[in-house]
Amino acid sequence: MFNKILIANRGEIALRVIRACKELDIPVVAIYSTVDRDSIHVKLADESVCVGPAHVSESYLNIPHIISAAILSGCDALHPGYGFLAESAEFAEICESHDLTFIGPSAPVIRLMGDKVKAKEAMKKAKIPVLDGTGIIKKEDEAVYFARESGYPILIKAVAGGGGKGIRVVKNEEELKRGIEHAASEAKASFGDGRLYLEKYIQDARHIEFQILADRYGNVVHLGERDCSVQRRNQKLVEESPSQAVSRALRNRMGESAVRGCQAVGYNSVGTVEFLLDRETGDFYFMEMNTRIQVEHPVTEMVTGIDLVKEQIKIAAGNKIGYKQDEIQIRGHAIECRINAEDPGNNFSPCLGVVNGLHIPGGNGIRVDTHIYDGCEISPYYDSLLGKIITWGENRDEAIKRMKRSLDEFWVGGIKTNVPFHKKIINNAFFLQGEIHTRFVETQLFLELKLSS
Amino acid sequence: MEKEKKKTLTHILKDEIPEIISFMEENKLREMEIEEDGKKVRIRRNYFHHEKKKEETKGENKLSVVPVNSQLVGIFRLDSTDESIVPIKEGDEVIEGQTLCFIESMGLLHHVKSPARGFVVEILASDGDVVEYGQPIINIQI
Repeated sequence: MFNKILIANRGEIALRVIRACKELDIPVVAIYSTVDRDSIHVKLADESVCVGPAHVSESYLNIPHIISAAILSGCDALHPGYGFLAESAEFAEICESHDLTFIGPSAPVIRLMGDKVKAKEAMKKAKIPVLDGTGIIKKEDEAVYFARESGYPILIKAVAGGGGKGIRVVKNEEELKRGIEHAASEAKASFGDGRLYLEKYIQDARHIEFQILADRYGNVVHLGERDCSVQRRNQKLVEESPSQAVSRALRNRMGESAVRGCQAVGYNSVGTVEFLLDRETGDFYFMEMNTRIQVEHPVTEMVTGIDLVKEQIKIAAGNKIGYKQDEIQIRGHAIECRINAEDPGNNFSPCLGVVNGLHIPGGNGIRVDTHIYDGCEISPYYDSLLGKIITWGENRDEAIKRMKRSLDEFWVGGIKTNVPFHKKIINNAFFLQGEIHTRFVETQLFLELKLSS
Repeated sequence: MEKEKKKTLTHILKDEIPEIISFMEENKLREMEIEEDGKKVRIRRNYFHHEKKKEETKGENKLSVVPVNSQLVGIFRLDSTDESIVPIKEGDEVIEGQTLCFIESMGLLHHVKSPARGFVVEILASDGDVVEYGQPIINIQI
């Protein structure tokens, strides 16, 4: 096992990794920017190192400073969390060249799956269904030709995109031509890579992803699915497991595909295979793979009882997975609501300020993963995620009831949050029926909001 | 000072030096002269760094101390293999742009330069210390 781990992240995920390390008796080193000096992850870590000023490029993305901090504090491994450097193959390579174990998959796998076109090709080769699409678009004509053949709407996607970013839907040729131009410059600015590809768009599909656990000896298991169909602007809001749309037979088929895909590329850490599930036909298609621990991982932890971060660390240390696919049981139902510091009444604009009073929900079946505390400051430099409320129940109904009361119990002063919006989702008739899809928020929910106002 | 006048100069020096010093400190006097019976004594106080720092924050003093902060995460080094650079010590006068020390990071030695002309009043890190971003390492009085 590792002697000491540096956590190259902040916020709730830094805290999540600290918790796992404490349970594994591994000392941790936190890094922080000058504005995060009073953060809870800094206080709870065994050691901490300031790596730069507030701006992420100079602190949480500052590779020389992070590597120096890890080496000088005597770490032999580094946990990247999610976001920041978590899916940088280059960073994983730099870690390894400094004798630091990168707690994640090996660099070539990150690189392969980070290129969305190559990832699709690899999955196609492993006989996993993928959506019809183009390779990298070199000429506008290619795009127009593909769109005419397959019919609108069409998705324009960035090769380097992911996590819901770098995607746009176009409904006709005019939008396509304009969209390609905009998307290329947007992708160049966000990911440093302006390459695009097109994909067939499935209206009102479900976003179903499979949690994977793979060790360095070729053992791969899946821990069931998460339904992340409730999204706003391609950003997940509510996640649950199991999905109402996935029967036992479908779970086996999709899970088996996800495992096969991971085996084909030599995947060796925790990861997530994302699929689109066509509600009409029941067909599913590989979308992308996330080579990191995800925000919504607690949902799977709640229904399987497996601590994914601890598993991830153990696998990186060279441990074998200690169980087989048929030993994994999905028990009950779990739901997660992402609590963001944003004002739903003002077009979800981020809310900054100082937390003045805080009450965290509790009781049976409730888990809250958050880094905020009374008196802490929400700064404009980082994302607006304040934390996650995860509820577990014997069945979906109980999990929903617990989520309802948790949202009522949650109280934070000084800043606005999206809790009122979550209450609308969780009380929506379609949601209660399990009738959700990727445009649920835009269609059903806003329809309801319009009707009620 | 009424009280002091009645005492001999020797008396004052012998017994009341601590009191005089605290009087000077309180009133921020750098120098004080006492004359009695044609004998004169001048007491000049060493100006300590921590007092200056306090005064600086109050904005009552023209002299100011500028902390030089580490811009890197690395190892603090006063000396390098470059023999043309003489390691600094407290009290040294330095010019703007002069190398004060080094931060060793990722196997490279980075020069830390003086932001202004002044005096090195305090070296806050020891050779070989691990320093983080933003950590004050040297105080320069300008």
